[in-house]
Amino acid sequence: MLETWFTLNLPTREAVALQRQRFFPEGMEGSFNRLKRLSLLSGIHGDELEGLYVCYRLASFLKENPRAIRGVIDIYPSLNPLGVNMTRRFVPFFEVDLNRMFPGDSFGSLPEKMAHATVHAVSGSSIAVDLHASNIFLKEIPQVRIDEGNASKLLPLAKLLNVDFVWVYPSVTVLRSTLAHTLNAIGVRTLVVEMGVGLRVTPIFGDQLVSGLIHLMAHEGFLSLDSPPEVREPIVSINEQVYFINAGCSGLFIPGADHGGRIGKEEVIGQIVSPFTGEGLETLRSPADGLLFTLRAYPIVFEGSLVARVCALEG
Amino acid sequence: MVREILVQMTSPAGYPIRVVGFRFGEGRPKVAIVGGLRGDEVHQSYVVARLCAFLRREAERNHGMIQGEILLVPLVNTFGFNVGYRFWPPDATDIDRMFPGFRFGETTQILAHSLFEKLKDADFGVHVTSLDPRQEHMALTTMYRSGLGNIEAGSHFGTHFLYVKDPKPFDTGSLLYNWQVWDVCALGLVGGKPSDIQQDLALEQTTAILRFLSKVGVLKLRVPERFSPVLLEEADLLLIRNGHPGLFLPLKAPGCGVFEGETLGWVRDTLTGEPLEELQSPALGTVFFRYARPAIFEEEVAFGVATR
Repeated sequence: MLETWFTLNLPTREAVALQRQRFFPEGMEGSFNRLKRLSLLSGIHGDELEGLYVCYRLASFLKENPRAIRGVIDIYPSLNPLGVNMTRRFVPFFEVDLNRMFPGDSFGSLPEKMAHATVHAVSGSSIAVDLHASNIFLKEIPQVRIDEGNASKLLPLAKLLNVDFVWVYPSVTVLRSTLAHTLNAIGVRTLVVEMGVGLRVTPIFGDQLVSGLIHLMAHEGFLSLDSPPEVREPIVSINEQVYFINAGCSGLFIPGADHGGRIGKEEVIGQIVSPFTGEGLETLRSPADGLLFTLRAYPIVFEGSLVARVCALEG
Repeated sequence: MVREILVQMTSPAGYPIRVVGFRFGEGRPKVAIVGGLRGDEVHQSYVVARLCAFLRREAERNHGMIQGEILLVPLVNTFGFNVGYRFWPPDATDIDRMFPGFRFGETTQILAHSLFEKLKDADFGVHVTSLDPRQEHMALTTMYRSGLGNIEAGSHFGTHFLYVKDPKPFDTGSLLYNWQVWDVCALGLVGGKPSDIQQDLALEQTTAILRFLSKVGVLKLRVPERFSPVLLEEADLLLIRNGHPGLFLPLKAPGCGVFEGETLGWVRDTLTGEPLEELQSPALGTVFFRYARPAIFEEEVAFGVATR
């Protein structure tokens, strides 16, 4: 069932409907309040498209298996439709990051109204999954990010999602104006998934996550399946184990290691070179034995640009 | 006047990106004046540039005029300015949310760190800026409530209003906020709108800075008096919203005095041109700001009217 949950009235008086696809058990229309609800959210940043593929794959699965559905499953493919249409990360015209506008304001600017309407639409869900695709600069392996303040209630859920990595980061770095922080604060257990790279779809990552979502839904009683997909055990990290590797100079970054693979201490992550002089400017090495879970995808770097993240692993 | 390169980095395309400062005099008090942290704050940058031209000319013929040090930084986001973009172009970060910066961080954190190292030992810090890129303001002085001890210094500009703001969480990365944390007397000078130079307003603001410099004792110059500022808070502003989206056609400019019921502007249908809505002032007051673009969404804040 396609539902409109917010309408953007544009200066030309055209209306853009923000829509969700609602799946529910057969014969239960009108009884949604008696069912628990899961919300799958995507496209809050218009340049992150991996989530749209996941929405497509999951909607397709649910359409093919209507009798397995035991709860309400809402799919929101595009929370920032103007941004998705324009391949812009932010809300066009306003040039603000929608994921820094929460909890929003029904009397505020359009992005604040969109944020407020999103919270209103999703509240009441018992679980939400907020799908992100990094940005155009960095490629991420499928991972869940959790702030340590919510780790006890979210970590067991994150382990069901078939991701490779769960990053638990300290509460001091939590951005309080995000959708996930707002939803967790009102009792919606919300997982933030990061995977792939901006402006692209990586089907192998998307398919991996769809298996995890189906597994999670079966485990939490949203689906009844004879044999839900098996899931992998993720590496779980606390922040002290995560190293950030930034460019020391500007130039062209040439990766020298495999994204998502193990890397040894002092092994080469990549090199920054000068197309003008033909010289190597900087060789970036791993500060620890670990997992190279973030790697630069966009080759141009400025001094300070993030090039990689490594999660240190013992043994 | 000494021209200094305050920050320099090499771009991937090979050319340097620089933040340039102009230093006048030496000693104390030291005043740092910064514009153009955003690439579209052209008017704000121009205010500091005109001040630079004035000081250079006057200092040449009046050697005892400057009694202390003035550091002018007309434009920080030169990269954004050159390509017509408000933020740092490669990653869309706002330099005015990056202070005090981080030496080992991302590009704009490094830039903010390098710049702040040159600015944090000032006695007075003046940031010439815009409050909202979609609004056009009258000339006013701003400060954070936590810096209320600086009201006297804030009144030295002689603007009509001294606007006291409560910092929001994202303000903690601003230059003004961090100056204050470093015990610099930090004041903002707001006026105009981005991407547009308003000559008369710019000269009014440049003169306001000269008045300030004279009153804090760094400039020996007689500057005509203007207002004794009215202290204004957010609660003193009446916000006028439009009901309909369409074309916004303002009648009243920032700084105008208005009566209750006076027409402030209109919204017309974008395609048919028919009037959809007349926007009126709900009270006797002064137009503090107005929406600054021709296309308007529904329920935007079209005008702010100060009632004090």
